[in-house]
Amino acid sequence: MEDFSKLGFLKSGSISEGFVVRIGENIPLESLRIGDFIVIEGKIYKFFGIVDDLKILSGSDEIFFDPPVSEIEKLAVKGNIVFSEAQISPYIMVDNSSHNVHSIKTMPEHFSIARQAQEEDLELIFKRQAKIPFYIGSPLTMKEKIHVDLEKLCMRNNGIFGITGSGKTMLAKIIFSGMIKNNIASLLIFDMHNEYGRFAKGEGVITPALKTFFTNKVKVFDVSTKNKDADEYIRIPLKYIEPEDLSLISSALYYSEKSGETAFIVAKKKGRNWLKYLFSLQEKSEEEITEEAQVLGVNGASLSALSRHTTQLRRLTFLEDTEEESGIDAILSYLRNGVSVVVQFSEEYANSPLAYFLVSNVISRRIHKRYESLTEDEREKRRIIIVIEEAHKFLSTDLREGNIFGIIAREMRKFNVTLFIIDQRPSGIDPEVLSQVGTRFTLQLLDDSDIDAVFQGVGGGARLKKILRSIEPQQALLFGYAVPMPVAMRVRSFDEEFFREISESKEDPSEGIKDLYG
Amino acid sequence: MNVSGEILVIHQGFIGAQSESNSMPPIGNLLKTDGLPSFIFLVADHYFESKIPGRVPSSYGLSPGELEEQQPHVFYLMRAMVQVVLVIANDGKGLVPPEKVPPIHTLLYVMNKNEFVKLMKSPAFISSLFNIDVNIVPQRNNAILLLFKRYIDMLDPDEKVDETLRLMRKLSSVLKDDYRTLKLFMDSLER
Repeated sequence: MEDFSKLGFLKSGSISEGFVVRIGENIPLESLRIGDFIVIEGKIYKFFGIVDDLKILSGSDEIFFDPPVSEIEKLAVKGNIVFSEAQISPYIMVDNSSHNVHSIKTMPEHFSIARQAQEEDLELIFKRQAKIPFYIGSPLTMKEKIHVDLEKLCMRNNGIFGITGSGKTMLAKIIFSGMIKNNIASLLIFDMHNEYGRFAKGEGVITPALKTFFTNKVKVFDVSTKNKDADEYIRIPLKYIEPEDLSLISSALYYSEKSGETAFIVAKKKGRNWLKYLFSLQEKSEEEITEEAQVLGVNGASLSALSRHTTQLRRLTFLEDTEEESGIDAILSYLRNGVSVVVQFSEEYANSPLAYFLVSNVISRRIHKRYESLTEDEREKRRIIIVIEEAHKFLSTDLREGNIFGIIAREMRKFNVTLFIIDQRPSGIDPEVLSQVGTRFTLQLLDDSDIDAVFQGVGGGARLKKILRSIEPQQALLFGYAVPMPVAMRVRSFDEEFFREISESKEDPSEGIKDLYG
Repeated sequence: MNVSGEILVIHQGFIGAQSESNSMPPIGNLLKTDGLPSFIFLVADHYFESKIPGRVPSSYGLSPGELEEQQPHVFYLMRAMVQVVLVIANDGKGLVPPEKVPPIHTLLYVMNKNEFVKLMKSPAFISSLFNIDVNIVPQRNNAILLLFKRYIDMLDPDEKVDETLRLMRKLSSVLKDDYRTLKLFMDSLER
């Protein structure tokens, strides 16, 4: 079999605009792809980059007036009169003797050999550089493994972006499994579609989820008591709900800005029982409400509207007029003790944006309040990662004011609390928040505004966009803090091999898998 | 070694060697000198000249066979000449550009097959062929083409395709600024 590892030689280029490699005449152009790893062998350093463009060129236009016809003629002119070039974006350089990795500070000379990266190259730059390497996938055209540094992943906010069906959930499960198995963070996952708990149902197939792999390290909470698989249930006292929580679910409540303003005034006047008070107005007549409004100093119609808008909340059975904070304290305790928590929304709350956004907001706010009051010595050593889906609904620019997730994204890193967002519309996320996302796993995106958004604040984003446009389902472009250089990869399979690898006990698969598969 | 000719004319880049009329080395053939350095020539053309200076041949209207029978003196008075072009030299260690032209009366010999094949595989030799000045040797391309064809014809069938490709590749490198000539060569070599 012909060896395509040697591709050609360095023809021209610059650090700012990338390197141009003349592809050897014996190399079929179609064996190269956008996103391929390339190594350019300098005298002192090896330069690592990825292919971000391919070109075919000719030295003479005359050839097109009388083009070669036979295969042998076409082969003969290849490399001399017609030729191919690859545009390489360089990212890191590795010292040939010390193997230290550096950002690009110089470049190799003309005619330096360019070749495809081999297994030992990938191991050098991904695995050996990582404190806790975790196998996450393979380069697009290679079988070798790419490792992400879980330690670095847990130190900053992260994001998985991709259209529906691109593989976000599978990738998230793989990453979360790695974090739990290596015991480096506690996850608090707000599981909108019930995919991360014990198992997930989709397209007629049942796949295991985190609780199945880690029976003792994962607890499943649910807002619905009808879910008998849950470990515990969530009950939220009415007095926990703050006006800011309702702003986030304004569309579900048909809630206007005016209603929001009124809510804040009512809360200020009525204290923690403001919501209970609003519920009580629903029993009153319009004249009575008008009188109440005068006392509060708000518009009567606004107060009436606000009371009506909040009617939906009364149907949420997990909201109770009680002092007992069932579930939430337990969640916080589990997280601090190294147990991850999946908060599910089953049965009557399945696919309920109202329940999802309200509960995740309330719990996250509690976490923020708890941690904000800690002194430096008391600060949690245990890392906590809060996972939210449909993040653009939590983190849009419109909701910037007082948005707890925006605050967590911007400020909570010092408390070892970070955000992990999973979203299909990154263009809907506040750019300021996006710029705080340290590592981005970008799966297939089709909308230009979403593609632009993902590269907010990223150097060399224009070049990476070309690579992203070629990404297919189950493939991802990974870049940011947790990897030394961007990488286009096939996400590893969420299959039996992965299940065996991730199980708690190597000798005996977890009981959860046995239950599912027999 | 078979003597194929003797250099008799060297004038402003033109080199002519006398040959036997019934065994003139074909156009496109390679000839060499003895000793070191050995000079390598390409046969570019054939021509005849009169042994008597100033004599202009007359027309007889006869075929060559009839002329031989009826007017045999015609051939005794003619000299069969080949125009040769100095391509490259071999100093015993390898191919080098020739520093001088060998003097008149230098004998030219036919190369043996091994020498010929080895030379044809040398990229430097192929490149040197195209350094021949077409103003002095207008038939240069024709001679080179015949040379290549002779070479390919003598190869084993399983070598032909690869060697044709190799030659064409070398041609496309040398003639990258003259696609028209290159296409001519490629079309001819493929036939």
